[in-house]
Amino acid sequence: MAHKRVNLNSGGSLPQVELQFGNALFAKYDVFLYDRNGSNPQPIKTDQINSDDIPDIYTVGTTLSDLHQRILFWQAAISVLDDQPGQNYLMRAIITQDGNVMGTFDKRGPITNTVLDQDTVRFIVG
Amino acid sequence: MKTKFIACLLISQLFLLPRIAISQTVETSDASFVTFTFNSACEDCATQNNAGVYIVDVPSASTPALAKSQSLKDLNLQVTIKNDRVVYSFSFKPGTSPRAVWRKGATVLQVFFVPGTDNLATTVSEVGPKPVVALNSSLATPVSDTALNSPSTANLVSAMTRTAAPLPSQTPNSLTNPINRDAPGSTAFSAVDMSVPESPAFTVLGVTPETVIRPTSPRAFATSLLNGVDVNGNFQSGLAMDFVPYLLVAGDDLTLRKYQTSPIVRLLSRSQFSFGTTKGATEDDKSLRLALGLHVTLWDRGDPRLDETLMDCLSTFRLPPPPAQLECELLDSTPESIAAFNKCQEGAEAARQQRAAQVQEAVEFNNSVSTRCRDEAQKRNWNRSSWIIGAAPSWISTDGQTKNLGWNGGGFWTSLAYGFEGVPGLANRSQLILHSRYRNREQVPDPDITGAFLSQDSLFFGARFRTGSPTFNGSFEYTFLRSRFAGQRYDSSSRLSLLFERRIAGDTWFNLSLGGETGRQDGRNNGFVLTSFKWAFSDRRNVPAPQ
Repeated sequence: MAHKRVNLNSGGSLPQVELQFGNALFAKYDVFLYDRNGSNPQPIKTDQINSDDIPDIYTVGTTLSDLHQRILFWQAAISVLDDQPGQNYLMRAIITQDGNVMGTFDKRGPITNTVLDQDTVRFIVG
Repeated sequence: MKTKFIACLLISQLFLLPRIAISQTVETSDASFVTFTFNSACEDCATQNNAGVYIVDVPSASTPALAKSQSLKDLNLQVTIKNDRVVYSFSFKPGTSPRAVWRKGATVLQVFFVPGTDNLATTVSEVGPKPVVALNSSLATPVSDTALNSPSTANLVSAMTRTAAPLPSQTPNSLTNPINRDAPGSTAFSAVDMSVPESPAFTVLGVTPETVIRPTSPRAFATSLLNGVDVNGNFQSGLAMDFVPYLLVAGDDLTLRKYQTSPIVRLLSRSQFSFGTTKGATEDDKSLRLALGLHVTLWDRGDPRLDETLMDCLSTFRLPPPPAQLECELLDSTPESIAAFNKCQEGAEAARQQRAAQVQEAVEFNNSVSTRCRDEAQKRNWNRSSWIIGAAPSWISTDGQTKNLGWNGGGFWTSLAYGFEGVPGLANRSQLILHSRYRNREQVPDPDITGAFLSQDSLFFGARFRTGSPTFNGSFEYTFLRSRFAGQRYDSSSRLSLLFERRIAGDTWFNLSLGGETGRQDGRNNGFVLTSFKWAFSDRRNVPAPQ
């Protein structure tokens, strides 16, 4: 399946990615930036958790032109915190540029103990 | 008797191991495995990799035939029978990575013990389709007398000889989702609260086994069933459904940080509505009762989402390295893009296999960590101090017909629990709950006239002392009850009761409440016995899609 796309304004500033995990579940996550061919991952932020005071928002890239066609990759280990049956997880990435939401990408499913999920999006500048 | 029979059956099957031929296996030089062969697809089996012990949990009705590869030496297999389940567990050495693979429409389960994941990608790439072999294994060590004489647990130590085994290529979808039904803290079975919370609707209908309602965590959705005799001596059966509207509507947007930092969000997340109904089943009481309930947790020192120790524990999760190569895409038709696409495809399969192995390793590790962390949190938090309030209006049809439903008054209650935090000897095992409840205009059967009902107001003050473990606990309860029928004087009495709560299996609990009243002015000091089963639904399908 092709990578999802998110369009960025060439005249705007660098985009930001925010990771959210719904249903008040715990998550530990990484964010990487790949080249246009889907290789050479460069870490943006690794081994972050969603239960601390650090906002889960990160600026992506160094120049906007360099981001064209590059792929953003994120992965998370998500865990339930109690025994409630029938729980579901939601891993959401929100891409913003200059405060505007350029794209929201959700991955969801049932969770009984832990889940390790990942997602990607390709930047299109212009 | 049934347990003994199953144990004998298991042991006899193990003696027959040398005669079992393993089909659909592929020969390699050094892989080791154990095979479970079922007569039919095992839809309710589960596997679990738990801190050096691999567990296969099967229904006793689906007892499999066992076999192993000859290369698998020093296999310490333990077979445990628990209720209607048979649990096979065996330890494995550090550096090996057990993998469960289902074959033949989930009738054959093979658990492979492969080398450490550092070597996994290489090993996988070497596997190819090779001829099927028949496998002969033998038990070098006979079953011990102890094992034979133990109806519930058979410890079978077998030293096994030579080999022939495959290492199948796997994708993440082919991996068994680990669930440990019996591990303390398991998401499948354990509870931060001791059991399914009392339904607020049942509370106002007066059919909870406990008079003193303990503070509990609401579930997003739960169902309670009741069959028993109420405090008036009438048989009641009922059903209650409980749900948390905020979680159902806004759960997707509820982040852990938002929950931790916003008291309003916490309050909404722990505000439970319920709908309950009970039906009398005797000539004295044919009534149908309905109630709506609201249960709000105002304060809870045992909330796992606020447990920093639990967060610290979970932060030891492992994430696999990022994939060396993401999915290949042909961006355009330029020669450079085509060349890049072709190059990407060359290494894609190897990268995919390597990624699958790394993901599997991380998932198994994280499952083990999560189970352990939540188990520890459960032990820390089950009896912590908390405070809840509840309210519920109710309706009744005294003849049992829905068209005759009428107002049945309402109830208001509050419970404050003290967890003896910091008190040696009590902090981890005990809880004191103070409870108050007011109930007005409750229609209760007239004890003197069959089929007639009286309007009753009542006021409870109670105290309950709980002690026990997360799976079994007992309570002693004292309640001061002040009640009156319409137009009559208040009658004060005391009620003493004992409550035992036992987890039978999974999220199914059995409650037994017994006791009696003293001091009633009318002399009707009733004794009572009330039993109930409580359970919650959960998705326990753990068998992966057959290959």
